[in-house]
Amino acid sequence: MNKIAIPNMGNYSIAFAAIADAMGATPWISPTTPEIVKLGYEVSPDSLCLPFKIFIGHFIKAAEEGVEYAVMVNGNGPCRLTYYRQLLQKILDERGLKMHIFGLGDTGIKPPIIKHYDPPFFKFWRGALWALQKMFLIDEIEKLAWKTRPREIKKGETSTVTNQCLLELEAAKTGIEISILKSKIFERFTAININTDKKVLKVALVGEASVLRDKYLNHSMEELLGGLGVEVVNYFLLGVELKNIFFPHLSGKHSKKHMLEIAKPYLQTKVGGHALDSIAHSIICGEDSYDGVIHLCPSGCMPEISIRPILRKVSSDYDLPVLECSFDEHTSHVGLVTRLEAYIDMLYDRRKKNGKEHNT
Amino acid sequence: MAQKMTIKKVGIPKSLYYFFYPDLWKTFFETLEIEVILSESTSRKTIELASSVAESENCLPIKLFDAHILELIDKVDVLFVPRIISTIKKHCSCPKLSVLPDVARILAPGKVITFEINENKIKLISSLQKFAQELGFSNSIAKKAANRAVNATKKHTEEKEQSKKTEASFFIVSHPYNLYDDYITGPVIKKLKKMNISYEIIEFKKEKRKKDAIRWDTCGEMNDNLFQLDPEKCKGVIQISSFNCGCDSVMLETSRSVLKEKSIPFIVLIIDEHSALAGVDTRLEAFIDSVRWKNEQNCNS
Amino acid sequence: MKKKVYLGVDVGSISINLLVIDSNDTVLFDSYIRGQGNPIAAVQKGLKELEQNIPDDVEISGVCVTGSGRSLIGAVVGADIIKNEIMAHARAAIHLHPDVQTILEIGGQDSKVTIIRDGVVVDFAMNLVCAAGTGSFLDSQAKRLDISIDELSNKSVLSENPTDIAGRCTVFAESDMIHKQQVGHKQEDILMGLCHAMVRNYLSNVCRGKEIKTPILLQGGISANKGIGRAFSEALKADITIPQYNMVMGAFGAALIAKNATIKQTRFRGFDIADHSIATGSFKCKDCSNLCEVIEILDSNEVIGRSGGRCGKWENSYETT
Repeated sequence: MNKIAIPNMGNYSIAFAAIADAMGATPWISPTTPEIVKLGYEVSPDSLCLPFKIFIGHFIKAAEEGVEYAVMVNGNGPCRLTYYRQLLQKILDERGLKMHIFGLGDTGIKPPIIKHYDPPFFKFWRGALWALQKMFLIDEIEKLAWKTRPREIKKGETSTVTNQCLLELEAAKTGIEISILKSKIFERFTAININTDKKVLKVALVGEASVLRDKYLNHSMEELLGGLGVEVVNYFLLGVELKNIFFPHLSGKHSKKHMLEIAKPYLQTKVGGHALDSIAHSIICGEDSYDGVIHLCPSGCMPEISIRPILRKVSSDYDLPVLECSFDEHTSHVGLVTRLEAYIDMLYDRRKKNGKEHNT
Repeated sequence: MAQKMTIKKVGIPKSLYYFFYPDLWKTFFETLEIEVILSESTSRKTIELASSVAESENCLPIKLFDAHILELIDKVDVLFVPRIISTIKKHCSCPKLSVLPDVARILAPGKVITFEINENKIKLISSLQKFAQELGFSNSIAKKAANRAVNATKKHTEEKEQSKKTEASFFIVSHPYNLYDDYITGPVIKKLKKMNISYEIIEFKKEKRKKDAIRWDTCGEMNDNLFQLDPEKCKGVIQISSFNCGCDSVMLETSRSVLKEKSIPFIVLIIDEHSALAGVDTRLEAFIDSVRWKNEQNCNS
Repeated sequence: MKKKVYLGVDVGSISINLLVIDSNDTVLFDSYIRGQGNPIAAVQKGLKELEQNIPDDVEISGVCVTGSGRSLIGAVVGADIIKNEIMAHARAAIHLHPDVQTILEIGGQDSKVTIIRDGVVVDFAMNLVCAAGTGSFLDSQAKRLDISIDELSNKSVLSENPTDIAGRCTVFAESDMIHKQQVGHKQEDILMGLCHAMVRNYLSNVCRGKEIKTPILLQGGISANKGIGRAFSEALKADITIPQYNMVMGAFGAALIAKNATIKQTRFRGFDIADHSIATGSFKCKDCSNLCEVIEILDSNEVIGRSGGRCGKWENSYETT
């Protein structure tokens, strides 16, 4: 009853579930699984991008489990995402699945989803605030994991701690519980044994949000890189993203306006999706002497593919090696690992050659 | 943007926006007394160059753009590459078109002149005028060039409209840069002529559209045209679509359902740099035969 | 005291290659074995051959395994290091030709290009979605023409007027080839045309945007094919060097990596594993939603290694270089 399916956004699904909860709905979230991928690509037009196939896979799975509602962002840019909600709805209808997809964004002050659930004012805003708290805490957990994983002594400990923290965060119900958990989280990460002398590489992940966030789609790239001794910075942080949407004047150097400013010598338009951010972030990484940047996107992604030549120019101007990875449902894990390993080896060799020894 | 005044020769690649706005750019620059050098029409050579230099996951028209630019670089002082955000009010263009000047600048550093086409903000005629002023021309010359240019493209469209045959039975639809590029559409037209089939190319008028679910400009117009087709007269629709075209990946389903409702047979021909339209003969022939067959059956029953 | 030697193993999709060097980098043994879908049996066979062919007064003091099956075979032989094949190939290339700037490496299903400047890898690329620029392209066309790969190699270089064969897709190329056959093109011209098609595919799929400078080395399983060498030098308008040990460069590189890693005590499991009964099993890891199929390697029911998980937690740990 009154269940609502939320597309997978990696760890952030926890925060979205909390918002659904605040509205008085029961959230349905699921990690992406091989079954969901299969459901998705069976019903999707072949030429659509991977995120679409994953969205529909999740929704079909949910609908088959009796979930009647779902939520999906309304894009308004030139990217295909703009049409996805309608297309998803169409596919569900055609298959006789009774699920209604609410759109989020660009729908006025009181969007249909709020009208539908009509939550009590106080309860909703209190719940939404807690959800926000959760979301910012997820950002913190991510950041701690990036720093700890490449330096951990016992392999896999960081991932275990991370998963534990996320589980407890998901279970936390009130603001107080979240606050208590927050201090525990910092303690737990500090308790992980690390090799402080280890020279680690610093590599940024930029690109399209779904593949940056869905660990199934990106083949757990953060964990793979961490295991190879790389400190990762994943440039899609939802906290930053939301600040950008709701409080652009507060988001400082991460605001769209600032991004345009940074990217200007190379790219003078927003393109759509996060393509502008990919360029701007890569430039920032070049200036901050990162060892490398990995650009992730779904195969055929309109905005991200169109900026690849520009990204290559940034790469050569800043002497910043960029690895391009595009993903679809056929991406071979072995091939990906080989490329990542060779890329990381190459970065180590460059460091040795340049005598660049910064221990950050 | 400081754009230098000493331009004698401007290069325009015969791809994308060249086909969007027929006659417009040539008239514009020639009114400004700048010599216009067009790249050669797309040929096998262009396709080969495109497939060896351009980003592999892009669609054919965007790859061809790179090749046309490369061909022009050494022949001209500057290359003209507009930034296309929107060609019809309340709509937007494919995002790949919005980065063209940035991509061109990498291929030809210091040689690109550009302005933004964004009908959501400013009418083309005004932005053209502003562009001419930026290039260092006086207000009146700029105005003259903009007016003439816009009229030229209008005239071009009207003339095409008038020369239209009315009895066409098959309609060809695609984005303008596929439709008007002979190398791409040529084989289809040749085949239709050979089979003695009357056809019509669905033109782009860039007319005002109502804001609706389809936000992409050319897709919206294509869709409107399909809606207006009369099932009594139209025997079939041939859509040419490039492999990896993001817009078409979404829109083809819509076209299909519009035509299905009207019971108009529909075929999609996919093009890429490897086949271009080789092998199109067989598919077209089969399609047309099946349509004829169906009509005969309908007559008999 | 026994002389120290180092073993490199390259586990590719088509072949398993073994190579042994001594501490002066002299090659004592090398072998190229077609895997035929059973890499474990192939490596056992290789080890047996190796044991018979190297002197008694040497001792394997370090093992490095490379190639797409590196983690599985690494567990079988007891590797000290596992290394991706891009770096292994580069290592051997730089060793033999210190001034090399480009490595073209074409294997059965994978093909790669590696860009080297001043003896350091600065860029690389790999084929991702399509096998049209790999050895399997030629294999399947040769099969279609009912000739051996050796014949293809010898005949193609005789061609004076290579046929233009279109299409990157193996299937399209085949239909075009049949068409050319039907209209009476000479066989050697068609064969050379195939080599050109494969090289063209490789250059546009894999080498796009890469700065290919001489000296250029061509290595990997296909480098023995004379037609391919010719096609490359015509397409790139440059001399192509085919290094010594061209077929086993990955294994050579791996051996060099093992030698330079200063391994104190090797984990090499000895030559007698050639007689062990080694099997693989698998189970589904349920620790997260990925539900990875984890492969286990069992030596008489003892688990000696695992591979196949996405997160890397099941894999054996190795020394880093």
